[in-house]
Amino acid sequence: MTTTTALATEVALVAGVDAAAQTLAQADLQAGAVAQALLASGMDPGGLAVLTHVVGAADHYPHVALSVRTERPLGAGLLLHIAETLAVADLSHAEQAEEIGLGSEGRTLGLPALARGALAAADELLHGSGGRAVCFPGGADLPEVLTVCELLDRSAIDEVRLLGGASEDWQAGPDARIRTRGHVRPCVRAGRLVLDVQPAADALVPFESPNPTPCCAFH
Amino acid sequence: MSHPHEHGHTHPHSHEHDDHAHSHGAHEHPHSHDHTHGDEPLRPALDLGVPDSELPPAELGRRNFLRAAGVLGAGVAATSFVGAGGLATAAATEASDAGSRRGHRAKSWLAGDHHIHTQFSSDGLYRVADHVQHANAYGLDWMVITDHGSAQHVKIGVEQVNPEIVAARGDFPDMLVFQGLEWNIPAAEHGTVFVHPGSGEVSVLKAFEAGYDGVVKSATASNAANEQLALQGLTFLQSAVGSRQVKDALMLANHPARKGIDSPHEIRAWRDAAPGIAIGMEGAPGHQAAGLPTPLGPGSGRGYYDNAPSSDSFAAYPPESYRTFGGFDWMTATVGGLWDSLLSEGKPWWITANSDSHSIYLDTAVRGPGDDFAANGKHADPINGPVPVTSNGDYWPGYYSRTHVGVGRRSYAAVMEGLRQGSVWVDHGRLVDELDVTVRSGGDGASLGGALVVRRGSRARVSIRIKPAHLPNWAQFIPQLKKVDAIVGSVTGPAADKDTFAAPQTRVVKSWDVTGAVGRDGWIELSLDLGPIGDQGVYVRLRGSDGKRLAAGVKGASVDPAGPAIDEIGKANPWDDLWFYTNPIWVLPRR
Repeated sequence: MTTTTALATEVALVAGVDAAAQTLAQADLQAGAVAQALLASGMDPGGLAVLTHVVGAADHYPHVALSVRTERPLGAGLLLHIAETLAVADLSHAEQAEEIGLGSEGRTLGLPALARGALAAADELLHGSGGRAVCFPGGADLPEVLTVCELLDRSAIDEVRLLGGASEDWQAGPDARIRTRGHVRPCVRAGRLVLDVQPAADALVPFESPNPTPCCAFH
Repeated sequence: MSHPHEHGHTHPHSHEHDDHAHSHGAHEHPHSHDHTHGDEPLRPALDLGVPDSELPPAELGRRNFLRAAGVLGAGVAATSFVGAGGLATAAATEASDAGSRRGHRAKSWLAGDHHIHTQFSSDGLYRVADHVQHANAYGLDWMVITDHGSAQHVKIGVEQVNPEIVAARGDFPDMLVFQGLEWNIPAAEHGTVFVHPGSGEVSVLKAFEAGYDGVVKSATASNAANEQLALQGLTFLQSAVGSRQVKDALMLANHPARKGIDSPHEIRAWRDAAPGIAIGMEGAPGHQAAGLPTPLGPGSGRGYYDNAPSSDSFAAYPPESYRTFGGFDWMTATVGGLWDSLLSEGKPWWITANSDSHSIYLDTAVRGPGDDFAANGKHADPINGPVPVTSNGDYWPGYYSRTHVGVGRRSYAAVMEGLRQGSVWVDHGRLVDELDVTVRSGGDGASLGGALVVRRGSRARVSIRIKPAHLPNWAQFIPQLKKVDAIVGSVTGPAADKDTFAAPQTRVVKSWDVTGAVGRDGWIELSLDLGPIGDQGVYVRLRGSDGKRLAAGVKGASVDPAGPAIDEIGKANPWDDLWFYTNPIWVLPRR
């Protein structure tokens, strides 16, 4: 049975990984690859979560790192396997696994600033102060349309929050319908996994669009 | 895409399959700049003599990876930079020292738009003449052509667009057509930069773009060095005016909250580095048709505001900030929000409303044959296509969004000066024909953008006259102004925290239901007592709407009981949600 309490309050093992993704889209690809590598190694999908974190602002090069939560320990071998997975041209600009930052329980590996990024990502998840979940329990096979109640029931999401507040037309009550658009990225806030939603044409949709309009796109 | 830099800032991940990616040997350790010596050449990513803008995408990716890893260059800005203008003088000080800045009582309002793209933008479509003749027909008096800064534009477009603008000035003598460009502000969003017409207009814009455009210089990332480059760009404009290369120059930030990358401290830094040059921001973005529902509309966010935070975003901005409210940007739509926190400092920072016109909703035009923007720096002239294009999200200049500037006479210089003075109000869907707002105390008065300095304890009163639309708009109905709100805040002085975006003392102090309030002469008359002016000054700004979509404001009903509602994705009919906003007037106690 998967738990539906907040990710961060779980007694679980948390590691950070920083392969210096320049964009969220790139970080999402990295997160997917990390999840896949862990599942292939026999990790239980029920306890697995991979989140993105913006780190590095203090070093003046903000970028995106990952945190990974698992239910059994990630040994050094598995951590290095993650780094090797990411050190390929399609996923990062790292040229060797050893460059990628890894951080767990205060210990780090990799280039110093990336090791700091990895620890910062892990800390955010541990303290429940931040992070944006790409993979989370119950998140993998959500239907295109479901109710708020179903979403809370099926996944690790703790809360659905309506942007702009409730109105006559829109509430985020248990029976409100959500159209996922195949892209659900809840965020950790104060230890809870919260999905921001907003009113759209025929249902609520998650705040984050699967294909946001790039600037200078030909509309 | 043979010119990856042009779009490199938006989706660098799309260039991963460059076959140079690993051609320089995977054995090269990232620390190798420490022990590369002798004849061994540096690989380009490591050779800081090669600017970012000249690196192939994979090498730039590698360089950025190493920067993030803290092993290449210092992220910290190497040079300390002081804006030539020094700190902006607070309006309060300025006004106290020099007597009241009255804001000129506008003799007339000229409607305009400072954000328009042509075929000289990679995502543009139309000729200059297409835009000018539509804007002219839809009632605008002035407009600014603002094609995107890019490798092609700096080389080709900035020069080639000029004769077309000059020709349009001749063909449409009633229209003031400025040349500008849409600056990729280093480390931030886009901004309009434009200059007074004259012999220096092309050379100044070109030099500015070559030296300070974020895309041209590969300086879009949010870091301290790029933020400094933005300030240097503004100082360059200041000196171009100071040395009379151009008669005047202005900068306004465009769609400021769209991606969360215009941080509060950057906005304050632009304002303070170049007061009178960096004067404001779009209160309402363009692309107002983008939220119309599919399949007959684009189905996106109104204004194409459908983004989410990225690593370049200012982390403290809430998710709501990435959406529009009643078609307006969150910075402006939030009572007690970012704009108010700037106004509370007592310094000028004005809002505008523009079309950002690229391709018009339901227009049939498409790009013509032989199109090659990368090579020509210009798209082929449009031709008539088979069907109306429902995925276009824009309106022609003047069709929906207007920026009204108060002028004493009709001239390029007067429009620029009116904008600088903040003698500006904006509306959507032609909601309001004309307005006249004056704050009076004793025998003295100040209008929009002005600051009235009064003896402490003096009472001040706002007189508001509004002439709502009397003709149908371009959707063929006469919009009905339903309510008017007066928003008042305290002047608390320069912000200690440059990243603050809250003004907790600002709120809606009065709302009028103006249904049936139009007098015989076509004007609505309202007035508001600001009470005795204490140790802190106050400012007042107005807002009004057709009353069709109202919700408690972002800061709660006690601050804004019936403000603009958040716009729904793929379900925002802009004609059913019309607003006007004015710029503020300050009332300050004499020291």
